[in-house]
Amino acid sequence: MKRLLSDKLAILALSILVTVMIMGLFAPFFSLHDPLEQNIAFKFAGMSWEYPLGTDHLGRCIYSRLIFGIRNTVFLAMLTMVCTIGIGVVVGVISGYYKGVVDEMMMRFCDVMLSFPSQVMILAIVGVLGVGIENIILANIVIKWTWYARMIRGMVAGYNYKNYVLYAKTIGKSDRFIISRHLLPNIFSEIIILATLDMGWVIINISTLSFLGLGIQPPFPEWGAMLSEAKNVLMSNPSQMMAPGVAILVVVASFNILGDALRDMLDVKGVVK
Amino acid sequence: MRNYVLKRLLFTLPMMLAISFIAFVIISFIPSDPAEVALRVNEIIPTHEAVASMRESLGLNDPFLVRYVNWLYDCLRLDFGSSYINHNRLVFDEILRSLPATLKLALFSFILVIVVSFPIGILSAVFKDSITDKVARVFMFLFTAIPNYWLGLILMWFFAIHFNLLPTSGATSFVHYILPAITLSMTYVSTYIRLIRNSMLENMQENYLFYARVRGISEVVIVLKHLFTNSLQSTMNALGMSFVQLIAGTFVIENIFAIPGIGRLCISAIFNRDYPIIQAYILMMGLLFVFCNLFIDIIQTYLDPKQRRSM
Repeated sequence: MKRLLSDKLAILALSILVTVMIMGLFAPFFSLHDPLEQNIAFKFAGMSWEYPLGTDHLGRCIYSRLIFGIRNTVFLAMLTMVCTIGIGVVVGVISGYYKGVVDEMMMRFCDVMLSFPSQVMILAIVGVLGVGIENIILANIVIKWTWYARMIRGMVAGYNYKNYVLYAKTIGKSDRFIISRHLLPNIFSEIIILATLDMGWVIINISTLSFLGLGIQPPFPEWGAMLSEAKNVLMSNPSQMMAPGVAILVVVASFNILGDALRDMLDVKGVVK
Repeated sequence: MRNYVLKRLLFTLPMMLAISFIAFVIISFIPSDPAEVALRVNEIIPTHEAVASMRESLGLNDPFLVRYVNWLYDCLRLDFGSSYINHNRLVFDEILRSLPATLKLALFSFILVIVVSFPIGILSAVFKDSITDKVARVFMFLFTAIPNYWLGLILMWFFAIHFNLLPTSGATSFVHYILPAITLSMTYVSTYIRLIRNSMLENMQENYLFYARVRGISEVVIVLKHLFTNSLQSTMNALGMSFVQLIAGTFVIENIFAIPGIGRLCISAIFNRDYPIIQAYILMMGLLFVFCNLFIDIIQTYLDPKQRRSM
């Protein structure tokens, strides 16, 4: 923790992320307008005290939409990540700890899944299940969990032969005890690093699909969907695309910086993106 | 060498079968009845008789494996059926028509990735911590965090609208591909600068470099002939993957710049629930992926003297 605090860039990234999350959690408190409230008389308004970032083509407050967009963009990406890691941990720990036929079968299955290009898989799943944010999240989980299962299996396999695990087995501790007290705490930090490094990718991925109209549907605010609306008025009002784009850039960059700093700090080997 | 190629070709067969099976199974998961969808999009009221006759004509009443084998046989004859939206249009023709634009875009981007990232990667490794290296690192950092569709919008506004230098959309001539190719390649450029830089920095400690210096070989030759070619080994594998990812990743860029490519075809098929096109897209991308892997493996084995001799 001390070394993390000495890294100024990491501190900046962390404080940006914490601020963003607090703003997202208390979005009604931080926003100035209803994000869906239209005010055609004020469309494409510039920056003002009432509308800090101006208004969009329907006269909606861009600042408020950005704040409420945190929930859809960042929080849904985090939800995706939590589900992915949840499945990854269950499969990875079972595979790595118990080994044997189950391990072999699961890993071969992961190999086949991983050999398919992820973008095609996402389009395939969304294409089959239809347009909608839940399907986007599902698709992201489906293509990601195999990778995590593999990584976590590798981590668990590394701890399997540590003396304290062998000792715990010898004195007859239950598997549940060994997994929850010895294995999970050890791999926890590595999982956090992996997740932090990957968050940017997930945010970009989900917002890209919303940008194409496959995810969050209008009029609900999402940064990618906001950029999609900005695209339609690119000729007349190019400044519309600035706010959501910068927001994505800053949040993704913060996750990347934080992930790199955490990796350097804990000096985890084998965690390479 | 020939035996190796034949062996690898043989190994791709089960993989191709697996992909075709995935493409077939995925489509059988669709929540709605394909016969009903096919009727609805043609604005025929889906009565019981209409659905039944449509099911019969689409061959949906056969058992699962029979359907799969029939479908596979059709695929081998390049018959992917006709589009649900417009029965006069064959899926194969649609794909064939949109494939060139996508391949061109992917190829231009691929060339751009190599032309831009290799020199910058080499320079920033050789002159570590110099101005070039620092600029390259800022560039790398920025372009891994920037969403490429936003970059596309910015470039489009700056070059096509503000300065009116390049066209905003379409794919009729080479200039139409400049902006899309830049947009598509930037993320990969930053990845490859990092990859080459790191790999070269690792190899710099090796003994063969020290020996080459002792022999009095000029530094340029050492860097380009010894250091770079050895660092290229690890990059080659990633490059093969990237080419497929470039093809698969064009769908965003094609939508922004209105390029009539295969990604755009697939996205509009998703909106229209035109399942035969989605299925053909999955199958084709999967096969492309297998063949690119095969190709890269063979090239890599051919280029690596150690492996070539052992064959």
